[in-house]
Parts: sequence; C-alpha cells; structure tokens
Amino acid sequence: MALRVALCGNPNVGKTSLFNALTGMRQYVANWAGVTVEVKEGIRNWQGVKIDFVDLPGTYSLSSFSMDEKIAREYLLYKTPDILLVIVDALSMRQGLYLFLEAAELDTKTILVVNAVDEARKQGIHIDRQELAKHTGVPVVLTSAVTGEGIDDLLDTILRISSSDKKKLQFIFDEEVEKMIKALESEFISRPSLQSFPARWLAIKYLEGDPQTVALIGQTQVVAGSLREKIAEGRYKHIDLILKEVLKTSGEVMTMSDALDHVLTHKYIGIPIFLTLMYMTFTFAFQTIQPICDGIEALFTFLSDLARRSIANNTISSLIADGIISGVGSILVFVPNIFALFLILGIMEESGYLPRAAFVVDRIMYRLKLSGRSFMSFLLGFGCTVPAIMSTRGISDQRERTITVLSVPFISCSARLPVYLLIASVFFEKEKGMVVFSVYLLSVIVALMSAVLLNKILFKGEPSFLVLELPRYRMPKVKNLLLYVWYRGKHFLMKAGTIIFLASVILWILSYFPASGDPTKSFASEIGRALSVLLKPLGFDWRLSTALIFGTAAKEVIVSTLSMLFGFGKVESLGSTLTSFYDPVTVLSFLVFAMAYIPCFATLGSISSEIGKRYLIISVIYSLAVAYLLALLVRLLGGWLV
Amino acid sequence: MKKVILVAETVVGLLCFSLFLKIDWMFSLCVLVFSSIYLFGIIDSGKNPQRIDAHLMVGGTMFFISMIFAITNNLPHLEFSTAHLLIIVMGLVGLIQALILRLKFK
Repeated sequence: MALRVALCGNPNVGKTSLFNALTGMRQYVANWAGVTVEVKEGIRNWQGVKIDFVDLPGTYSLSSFSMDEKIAREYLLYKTPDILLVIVDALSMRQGLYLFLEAAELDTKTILVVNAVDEARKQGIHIDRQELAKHTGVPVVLTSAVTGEGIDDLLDTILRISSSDKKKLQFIFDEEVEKMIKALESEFISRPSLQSFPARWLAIKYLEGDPQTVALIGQTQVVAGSLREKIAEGRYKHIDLILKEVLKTSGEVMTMSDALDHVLTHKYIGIPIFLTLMYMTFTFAFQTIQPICDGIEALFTFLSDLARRSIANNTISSLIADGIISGVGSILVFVPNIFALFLILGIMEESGYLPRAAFVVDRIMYRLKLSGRSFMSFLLGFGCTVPAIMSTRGISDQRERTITVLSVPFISCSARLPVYLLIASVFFEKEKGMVVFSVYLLSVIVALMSAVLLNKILFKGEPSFLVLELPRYRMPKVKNLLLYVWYRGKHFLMKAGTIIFLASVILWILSYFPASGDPTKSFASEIGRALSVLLKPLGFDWRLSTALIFGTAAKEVIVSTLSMLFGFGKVESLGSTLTSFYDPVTVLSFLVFAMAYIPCFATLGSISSEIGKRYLIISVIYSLAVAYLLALLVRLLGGWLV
Repeated sequence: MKKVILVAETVVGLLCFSLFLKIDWMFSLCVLVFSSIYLFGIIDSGKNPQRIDAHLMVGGTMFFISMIFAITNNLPHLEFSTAHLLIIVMGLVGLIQALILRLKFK
C-alpha cells in the first residue's frame, strides 16, 4: 500500500521543516517566505505503509496570482493527493485557516496541522485541539517541526484517515452568495469539460475572480469576481469565531520579536543598522579570515613549484603546474572567504533578520516601482543568480517579475568574489574589506537603478504591495547553519572540480600553444587581441579581454585566466606580476566591468527558461552596455582624479 | 533609572566614536550607528516603557557584536588602544544588559 500526501500552507509556516521531519530529508529550510518555489518529494515508511510526501510552495490562497501559487494550486487540482495536510502556523492561525477553508472544499481527505506549538506555548498561547477539530470537521494535529513534537501522531493520523471515508466539508456562506454558488454549480455539472473538477469549489473561485478559473470557464450569466469581498468577509468572520473558542492567551506583554522589530525595523535607524551589519560582515569575511587564505595560497604555490621541479617534460609540467594547479588553486584560495560570508549571512537569515531588511528597504523599493519581494530575490542573488531568478516566481506582477529577472544579474554573486578579492588584495590591500563592500554596494545600486530604468523605458506601472510574512526571530541552529553554508558553498567547490577544471585545461592549451609557453604569441592572445579593440577605451589589454571572454562560462574563470596568462613558469605570485602591468584606475574599471557584464551561461539559461529567449538576448546586450558605460565612467573619473 | 543608563551609554558610545575616528573611520561610523540605538531609545521612551528595554537590549547586543569585531580585526596586529578598551567594556556591559533584559519579553 502506498499513499501520496501533499503539504500545503502559507509561506514560512514551516512546511519544509515539517517535510524534513516527516521524511528524514535535508531540504534547505530558510527562515523567510518564498523559499520553496517548486514541488519536492520524499518517502517515509510508517508501520509498513509507504508514504510519498510532496512539499508544495507556500501560498496564501488557492487563487493563482504568482507562479508559486499556481504550482501549488495546479498540483492539488490535477494531481489530487490521497491526503492533504494543511499546515498553519500556531502564531498566525487566522491567515492559515483561510487557506484551510479553501482547501477543505477540494475532494481530498484533509488533516489540519498546527505547527510551531512550542513557540505558541512560549508566548502563553494555548490551542484547544478538540475544539478546533470540532469546528473544522477534520482531524487536527499539533506539531513542532523543530522539536519533533507531534510527528509520530501525525503519521498515525495519516494512516488512520487513509482507511476511512472522506467527509464532505462545506463552508456555508450567506444566502446571496450561496444562491449564486448553487446556480453556477448546476451549470458547471452539466458541462462535460468540467466534470473532473469539484463544481462548488470552481463556482466559489469563479465568484472570487480567480484568473485561471475564469479562463477555464469563460463567461457565464454571473460576473466573475463580483463577490470576492463578500466571500473573504464571510470566511474571516467564521475564522474569528473559531479562534475565539480555540485560542486562550495570557496577558499583554511585548514579545521578543516585537522588541527586536521595534529597533531593527525602526523608521530612522533600521537602514543604517542593516548597512552597518553588512559592512561588518564583509570586513570579517574578507579581512579577518585572510590569514587562512594566505596559508592555502602558499600551499598551492608549493604544489605548483613541486610539480615544476619534479616533472622533467616541460609541456606536462606546465600543464600540471600552470594549468591545473594554478588555475584551480587560484580560485580555491578564496574558499574560506566565501564560507565565512555565507556563515554570517546564514546567521542573519536563520535568525529571521534578513526578511526584516526587505521590510526596511521596502519604502525605497516602492519609490523605485518595485516591492520588497523583489529585494528578497536580490538578496538571494548574493549567493547565486540562478536560484535568485527562480525565486522571482513568487512575484505576482509579470512586469515587476521581468524587471527583477533582468536586474538581478547585476547583484554580485559569489562567483564574482574571487575577482574582487584578487584585485582588492593586490591593489588595495589595507582597504580590502572596504573595497569589496563598496563593489557589493555598487552592484546593489546598479541593480536598483536598472529596475528604475527598465520600469521607465519598457514597462510603466505601479509596484505591487509587499505581502511578506515577517518570520519569528529564532536562535540559529548549528545543524541548519552548517547545511546553509554547505548548500551555498558546495556549488563553488563543485564548479572548481568541473567547469573551472575543464576551463583551466582548455585555457592552458590556448595559452601554451603554438608558442610553447609564451602566452603573448598564443591562441588566447589572438582571441583577446580581437576583442581588445573594443575594450581599449577602457584601458583593457588583450590579457584582460581574454579573461573577460572566458569569464562568461563562469565568473571565477576570470581569475584562472589571469593566473595562467601572467603565471607561466613564474615563481612569484600573480599579485606582484599584476601590479607591474596595470594601474589602480584600470583594474578598478575592470572590476566594475566584471561586476556588471554578461551573466554566466547558467544564469542565461535560467533567464531564458523563466521569461523567454527574447529576454536572454536583451539581458546580454543590456548588461554589456551597462558594464561598458560604468567601466568607462570609472576610467574617465579615475583619470581625472589621479 | 533606565533612562539614565540610556543617556550614559549614548555619551560613552559617542566618545568611543570620536576615539575610533582616527584609527578606523568606517568602524567609528558603525559605533555611531549603534550609539544612535541608545539615543533613539531616549526619544522613544515616553510612549511605552517596554521600548526602553528593547533599545537597551538591542543596543547592548550590537555593542557586543562590535566588541567581537574589534577584537578579531585587531588580533593579527595586537594593538589595543583606549578606544579598543572602551569598546570591550561597552560590549561586555551590553552583553550583560541584553541577557538580563531578554527575560522581560515573552
């Protein structure tokens, strides 16, 4: 016997944590809304029964406005599970129960799961389980995905309910609404194309004006969306009555979350606090951690020398020393910086602070015709641009989504960090943390300016409002933090072993031949020289141009390329060679160009799949133009100031 | 009493800011921002007494973070000036303050 059980609920109610607790899996869980944007599956055997759990993206209702809501809704309608778990947060049950009332009318056996009961207890809230089950008509299980409380009970309930018949659940609205529902219901039943859908549910959705239902049904004698407010009002009235019976709270004392929010999202000091914490994060990750990086660099220099000394054949020794060890090593040197950065960002995210940052900057974002929801995608972009682009599925407004997708690649992802660090440590050693922080800040400013520009030129409209559930603050758990750092950092390590390794070998071939180790007469130099005509006004020679060309595969490859083009047969470090070739203004201009130019192949692929091939071409031309202009500006200003 | 603590910590925070200005101007700005948490606590205190506790708790935590940051950043050089000693004192006081005040919230 096998059961398929779907988990649905509002964003950030702990669905993925519960999914992990039920299946023993380790899906990444973040302390903010909109993390799950796709369907995830996991299996658990319980008392001899195989249970296939499906984690759906968070949704506030079953009306489909944003992409993640569509995914959840379509799964429930077209791949109807055997049992549906509607997860509600014990601390915000009102909103959760609204989704429950919608879901309960689907033809699926339903269990209401009240999660985070431990947190509720801490805040003096008592939930009467029996009373809640009586009012909702379905089994209720109280759980805590964090402590594991109620998980076995939930598994038992799933087995129990699977062998019983489904109870028909209906929320009865007032007379006027019910009359309309009945009229539509009888019309839908008579249509063969709608036989597979629950007629009453469709009728309610039609009256709510749900775009997909309206598209499915077409026009009827009733105006679609005409009773949206009445339906919502009726449901919330009923929910308030239920909660009055079910919730018992103790006296009014400010909660820890309220106290922290009062200061951290303060009207005047909220943004300065956020910027200060970010500056400290960058300085810690790039300055304090540096001795570890220096140790790794020394190790790779030693290995490279050893390979040069111990292999007699010049070509093979150069391939191993200059190609593989220097190419891959020049990037692995930055692993401690990247892991340190993710560790601190992980603490901020796990504690629940990062979503507050989105809330704090929402005022600025709104002026730029974007909502704080876009800022969450920008924040994800600091890790990797691909998931950041995927996370835009949660933005319901298509215009805003396209703007965000085209602007997110300007945010500095971790792949660009090695380039920044190389330049900053060589040319601006004492102010390294400050320089990297400034480039990051510049990348955010460019992304925001890009959003304004695109909004003015291509799309004209008002932003959608920020509907972002602020999660509770919580103490970050070591296990979760390690998972966070590992999930973000492993991507970098895997790239070092695959794309960067391969790129290093190809680069070595192109830089070594046909002049047997003289990069100035190599194939790579020919490629670079062809492009350097265009990049000459920026001060870039063929070496920098070549590095930029190969950097389109993956941004880290820029460092490997430079390391190879300058490092052939040389014992001294890449840094000392670079200083003798370039002045600070040229490298700063190069840094800015590398920050903004063409996104990597993986990002281009995700842009194409998310918003279409047309935008892929737009993104390439647009980013190249922005990068060129910015670099030229730096060059001109730098030349004028120095 | 709590208001007096807020005023005292604002003054010491500003002193710390001025001392760090010559050593590390970016870090001195961080100290200034964290001092302003205490300063806004004085301004906000009239509306709800629990807000003073919130400012003292968050301000204390931020100064504790600043202390860790100042120490780790200076470990390679082993140079601890008056400004460093002052931030260490403020960080330790901040930690104790935050630990005590967290009990006042649910």
